[in-house]
Amino acid sequence: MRVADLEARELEARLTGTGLALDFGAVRARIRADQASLAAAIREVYREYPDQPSRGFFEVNASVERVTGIRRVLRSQVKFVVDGEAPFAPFPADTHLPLLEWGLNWCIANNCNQFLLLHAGAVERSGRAVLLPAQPGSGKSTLTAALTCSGFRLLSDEFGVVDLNDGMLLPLPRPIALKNESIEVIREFAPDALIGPSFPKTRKGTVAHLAPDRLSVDRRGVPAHPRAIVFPKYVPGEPVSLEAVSPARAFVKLAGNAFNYEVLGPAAFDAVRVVVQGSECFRLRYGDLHDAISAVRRLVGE
Amino acid sequence: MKTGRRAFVKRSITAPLVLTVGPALARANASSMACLSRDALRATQDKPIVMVSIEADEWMRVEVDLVGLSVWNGSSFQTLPGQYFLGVDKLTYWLLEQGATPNSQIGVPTQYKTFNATPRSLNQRRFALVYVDSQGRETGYAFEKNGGNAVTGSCWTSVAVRA
Amino acid sequence: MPEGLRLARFDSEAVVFNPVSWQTHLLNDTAAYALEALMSGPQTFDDIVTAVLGNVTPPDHTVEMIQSLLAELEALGLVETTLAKSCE
Repeated sequence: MRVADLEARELEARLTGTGLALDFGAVRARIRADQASLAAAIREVYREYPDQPSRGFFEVNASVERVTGIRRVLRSQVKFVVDGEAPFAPFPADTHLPLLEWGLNWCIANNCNQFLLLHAGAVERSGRAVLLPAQPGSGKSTLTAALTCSGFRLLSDEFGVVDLNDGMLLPLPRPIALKNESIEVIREFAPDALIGPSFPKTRKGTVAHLAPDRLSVDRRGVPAHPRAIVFPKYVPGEPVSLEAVSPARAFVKLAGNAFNYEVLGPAAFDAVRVVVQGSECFRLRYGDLHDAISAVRRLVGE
Repeated sequence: MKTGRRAFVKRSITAPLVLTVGPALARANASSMACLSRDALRATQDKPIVMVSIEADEWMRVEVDLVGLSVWNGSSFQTLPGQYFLGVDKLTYWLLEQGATPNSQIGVPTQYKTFNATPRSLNQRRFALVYVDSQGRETGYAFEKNGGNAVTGSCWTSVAVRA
Repeated sequence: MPEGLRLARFDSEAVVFNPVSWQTHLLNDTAAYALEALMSGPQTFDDIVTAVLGNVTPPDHTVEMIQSLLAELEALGLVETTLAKSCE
């Protein structure tokens, strides 16, 4: 049984009661929510996740709750609560799902130091994983989304989760946050892709979430060998090109862009070394998604 | 114990560079990206290097101390105009200059080195982005005015943290 | 050399983990040769110059260049300088 199979009332009851268990693979979360509209949005973007008992250990216990008090009269707001504390300023109530997703990102980035957390998308095909480090202007999420709509397994959009013992990439498939024009780009690219509701008034503009596909969710327990590190750069009208990046620079970029590199110290250094030494490193410049996907396909041997 | 000699490979020696990987690298890039490319080109004009392209993500973040410089002119110390900083080669002083955009500054290499100029601290530290080319040579600096700061540009930090 | 120092060589550059500060440094070829020489054991200044230059003609200000590098490596805690005992 999957989250999509739950009746709306059952899901709402779960979210307001014992919580909804979400097994992301490397991380398990239990979430609660007290808004019916948020429950409906969760049902859409987490549709393929198995319905699991809400007992047991969870790395993340979080909820999105209505803000009560005088503010509620003036403007309806919601807050993100984790372990009983609300660490962030409230959001308008009609942006609850983005708040939940960004809040979960924050929880993972701050607490999951049993892994090295690279700031990167990660996909896999033919047994070869490709890391897509996040940089401004890269179009990383759009490219990651398009790759997962093109037969690549989604490991993660936000976190390249590296096993400190062996340098393998651990899956953490979650909804991919698409922003502004990217939403329509992916709708056109993959008309059958399941994109959740749009939220127009976030700090990042309009945000919508691409639901992970069933295969990626079902294989969330299967690690992957990193074999390529691709620094994407989206430039409108640019012909596609792949340029080799020196491994030392790739190392520095990964280390400098990781959420917890400094926290882990020597273990992180060793993990990044394993990842870089086992991978080819490139800069990918592209103006067309299809061309970019073809280039990445060639890297995984297709 | 002496080391064994490495293989005899014909190559040139560049000034040694030691750069520190900074945790706010990507976030600093996010805030400084707009002024980088133009400033980088201007900063490298004095260098005999053919720059095919400068990728903004090739920059590394450093912190520099601003100093004034004095040089001995044979009979007395002469104070040089301007603010300087020591490059990552720890040998060459760079001059801080106005960049291509109003809110940016760049570094320009000078002939002043640690052995022919005397620094005095100005008690100012600045964040800068330094470009190091594939031959391991520092070739450009870009600064934000007012010292710069580590700005979080990542999408996951769109929630504002309570004070 | 502090215990736990890690160096990863990649062609003409190297990345070093500094166990004293927990910082990671990127070294160009010249700096990497010097540090690699020191990682094999104590070196004299001339040893380091030889390790860095190999068969290359010394460029201008080689001594200052290497002195600056060693001072920086020492300031970072990666190396330490001891005075050699005089030999009769």
